[in-house]
Amino acid sequence: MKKRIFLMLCLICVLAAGCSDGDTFKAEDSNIKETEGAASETGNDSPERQQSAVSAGVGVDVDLTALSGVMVYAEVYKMMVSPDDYIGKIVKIRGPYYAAYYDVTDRYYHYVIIEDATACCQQGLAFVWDGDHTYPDDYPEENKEIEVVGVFGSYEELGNTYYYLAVNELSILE
Amino acid sequence: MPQLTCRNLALGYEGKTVVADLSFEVNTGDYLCIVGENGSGKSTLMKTIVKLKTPIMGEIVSGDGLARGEIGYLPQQTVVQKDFPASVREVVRSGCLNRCGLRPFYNKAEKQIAEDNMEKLGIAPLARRCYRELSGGQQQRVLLARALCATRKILLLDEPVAGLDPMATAEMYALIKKLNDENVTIIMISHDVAASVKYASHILHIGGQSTLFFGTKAGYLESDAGRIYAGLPPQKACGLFGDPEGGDQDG
Amino acid sequence: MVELMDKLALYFQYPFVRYAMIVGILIALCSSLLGVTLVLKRFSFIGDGLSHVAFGAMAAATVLNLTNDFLLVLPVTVICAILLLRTGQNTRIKGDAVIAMISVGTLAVGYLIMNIFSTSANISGDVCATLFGSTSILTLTKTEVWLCAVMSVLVIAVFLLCYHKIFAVTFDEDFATATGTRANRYNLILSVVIAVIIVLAMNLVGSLLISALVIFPALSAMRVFKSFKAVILCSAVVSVTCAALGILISIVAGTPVGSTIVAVDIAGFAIFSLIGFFMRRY
Repeated sequence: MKKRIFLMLCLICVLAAGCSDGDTFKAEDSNIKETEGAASETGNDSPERQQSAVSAGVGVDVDLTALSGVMVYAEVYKMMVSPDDYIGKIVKIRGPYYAAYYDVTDRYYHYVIIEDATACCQQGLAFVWDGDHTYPDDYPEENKEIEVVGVFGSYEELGNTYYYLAVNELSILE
Repeated sequence: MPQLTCRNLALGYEGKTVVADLSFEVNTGDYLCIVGENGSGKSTLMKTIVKLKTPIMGEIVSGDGLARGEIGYLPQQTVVQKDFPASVREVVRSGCLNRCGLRPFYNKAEKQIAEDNMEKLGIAPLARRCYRELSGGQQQRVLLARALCATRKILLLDEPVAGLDPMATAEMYALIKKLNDENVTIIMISHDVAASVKYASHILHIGGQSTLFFGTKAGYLESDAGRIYAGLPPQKACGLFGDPEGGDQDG
Repeated sequence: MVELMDKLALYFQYPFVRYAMIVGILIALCSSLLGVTLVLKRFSFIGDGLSHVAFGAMAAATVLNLTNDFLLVLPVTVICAILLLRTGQNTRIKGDAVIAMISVGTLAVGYLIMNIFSTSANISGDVCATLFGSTSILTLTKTEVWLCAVMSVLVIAVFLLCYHKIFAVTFDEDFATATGTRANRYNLILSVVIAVIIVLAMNLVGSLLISALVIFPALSAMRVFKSFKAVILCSAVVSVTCAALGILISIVAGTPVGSTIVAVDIAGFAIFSLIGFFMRRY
């Protein structure tokens, strides 16, 4: 069971995204927003409230920056295993940044990497940065430590469900 | 009816026959010493009697109300035991295990038997001491007490004085004799022919794959085998201290 | 200090931390009980050998795409445990050589199988996680916790019921057999129980470190205590304390769980050795 989930995680990591073509990216972006909107209609708080809450810096439901490395890994693992418990929650996470390109969808995917204590296992938590950002200009350098705050959600692509953070606050740490 | 009868026993290990066509019987209250050179099959014989090994041929019949497991056995000590963290009381009580059957804990009667046997062998003051801290002689007495807990009928002792100093050796023999006087049958393997001849009522001498002698002590001293053995007092004085390595493995 | 307590209180709100503590303590308890017997029978390294067998079986299960690898791992480990412990005194190849052969062999074959027939993108990560138990104890599901709990309780019950027999068979198997105790039966029970514990303990500390969980508490107890009962009790207490401390330290400091537990065990052993040394002097 664990092996299968880890395999799924690795597949997510490996799936690279589109190119730096802004238009394609924006089209996909609106697609994601629709999914998010749909999710919010089913009973979660409205995206507007979440966005403003996030920018106000209050109401972080899952603050992974307050935990030790071992706990972060375990919590992210749990998010991947039972994602429905976390949909709609505001998550704050810190880690190295990583981007991957997947030619099938012609997109770039962005991740915060979480390593476990022995550094031999890694998970990537995908995120989508709201607003008008192009890769690679507005995004940080690879492996730079970043901190993001966003809402946990899901989207459909190529027949699979993927989980990600809808981020509108990204800060680069030194 | 004899307590133990062995008929036409053939014993061996790893495919080799060590002793063939061995027949003897032991009656209640006998004191039998099994003597012979290294490799003659003494320990193998004892292990066969206590059913640790199966004979190649022949049979062992127990009579006179002796049930399986009513045998007190004093094997040679292993390396593991010498360093074992157990109190004397725990070791002695483990002799009562055969009375427990599937019951997980000892009852009062069994605990009392253990206490009585410790008293009898003079090790009651050592009850709480750690087994590995005792001297060789004390350890042997603990093991003897354990054997007594298993039975009051018959004791099988495999070189009980191996590695003991002269005083401990003498004490051990005295204890065993005392038990024999209380009608406990004794079957003992010993390298110490002088002591065997002194205490035993019967002697079984095996060697060269056959029985060299079985019978009473008196008969032994008159037999060829007995005279050769007993007729070399200076050499056999070594027997008083036992075998230098503390006993052979296979007998 | 208050800050530490607050942090711990925060952590304990997470269910996986609570699960980790429960399972960790139960497994540590079971391993310590059996550890005393294994150490005394001079089978200390069997934990290592069996855990490598379990690893090999897990590799095979992954390749065969079994939904629940427990189904293959547990029986295979039990069978190997029986074979290893039975070799005892009467074989051509002695105990430690057999353990070495099986231990190294299954590890190599397991890794080979995983590489040749791999379905995972990150093989060395999988292997590393199984060998060192990185965070597997913090990623247990509720079902796994229940399973561990039930098996641990069973193991402890079996151990308590067979306590005196296990003592007799460990101290002097020949005598026990001669006086009518079926030593073979209890050796068999011991083998099965040890296999179960090893498979469970792989979750806690990973394959490579299981031996530590089995050996250190027993050895620590033997430095100080003189009767078998005291050694068993002390070993259990030491093991549980060190496991609990180890888990707490690792989640607070962010260190790998398995190695931290073993480090705490080592510290415990050092402390007990010192105590034993001073007790003997004065």
